[in-house]
Amino acid sequence: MRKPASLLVLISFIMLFLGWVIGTFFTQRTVAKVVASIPASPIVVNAKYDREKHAIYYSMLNPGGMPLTVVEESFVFTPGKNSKEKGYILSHIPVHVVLLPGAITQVELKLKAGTQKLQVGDAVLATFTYTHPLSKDIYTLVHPFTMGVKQTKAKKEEGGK
Amino acid sequence: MKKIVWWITLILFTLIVILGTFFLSTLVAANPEAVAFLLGFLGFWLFANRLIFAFSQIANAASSVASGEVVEKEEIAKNLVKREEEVKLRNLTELSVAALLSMWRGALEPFKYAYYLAFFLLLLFSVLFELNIISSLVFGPIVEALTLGAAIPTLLVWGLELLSDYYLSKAVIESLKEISEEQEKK
Repeated sequence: MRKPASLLVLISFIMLFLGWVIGTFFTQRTVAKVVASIPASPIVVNAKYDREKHAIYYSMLNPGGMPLTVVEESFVFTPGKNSKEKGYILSHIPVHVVLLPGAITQVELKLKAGTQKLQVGDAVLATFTYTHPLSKDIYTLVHPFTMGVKQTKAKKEEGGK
Repeated sequence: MKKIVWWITLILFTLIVILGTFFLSTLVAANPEAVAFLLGFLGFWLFANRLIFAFSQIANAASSVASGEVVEKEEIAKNLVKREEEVKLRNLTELSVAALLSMWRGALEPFKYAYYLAFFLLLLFSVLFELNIISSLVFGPIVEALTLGAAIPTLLVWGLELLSDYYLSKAVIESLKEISEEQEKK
């Protein structure tokens, strides 16, 4: 750094870098705002049956930047081979679960009280109704749940025969 | 006549302030980061102004001294005192231009220190927000935008400081040479 020319070159390089950082910052903020204003559809990443409470717990991910609200649950119960229970439908169970943006939220689905505990092979087709703050429309999410993982493997083997 | 001009000026000033407030408030609602950036830039420039102009004047005068041009001592001595009479009182014109310039540079040291301190504190906050040591979705981006706005005058101050140091050291060497040549003649 003996000559003023090298000083000026150094300063202009830092200036360019600073300008790049500023541009990146503002672009990033704008993009973040745009993305945050897009309502996304929730994704069920995991479903678990709680035997003691006789309920299915769904882990729902909201990948967007806006909160979604689950307002209604319905489900169709189809008994498997091991079950003595008859099939039944429960619909329009009002709930109010807010799915926070970018987070996983637990949603509980209580099965009909007094019915048999879920056996391997029982299927529950759940329908969740949700809304988002930008419109009055109602959206649905349908998730099929089959009790037990081993059963599906056995089915595959049967199909092979 | 004077009163009319005064009233016109006052009305214009009030209009500008009202319009500016309106403009700023609409901008704040739409894009708070941009406003924070602007405020950081203008606010830090307000404090950097003295340093930026003084360092560039020092660099300018020192480079003319180094290349052997004549620089008026009174013009530079003015910047070292509050009233012009003090130049006579302190006998500043008897000093060489390079000595006056180095005194001026020394007088700027506390301002430089305070300025860099303020910038460092702001930078510290924005780094703490960036690393999520303290986190706030509202204040994080705003502090970062403030820092980015403040970085522009800070970089100018730093660059001009380096440049004025370079030219000042050249001017000091040049005037020391002149002094030793005069002593040899005697």
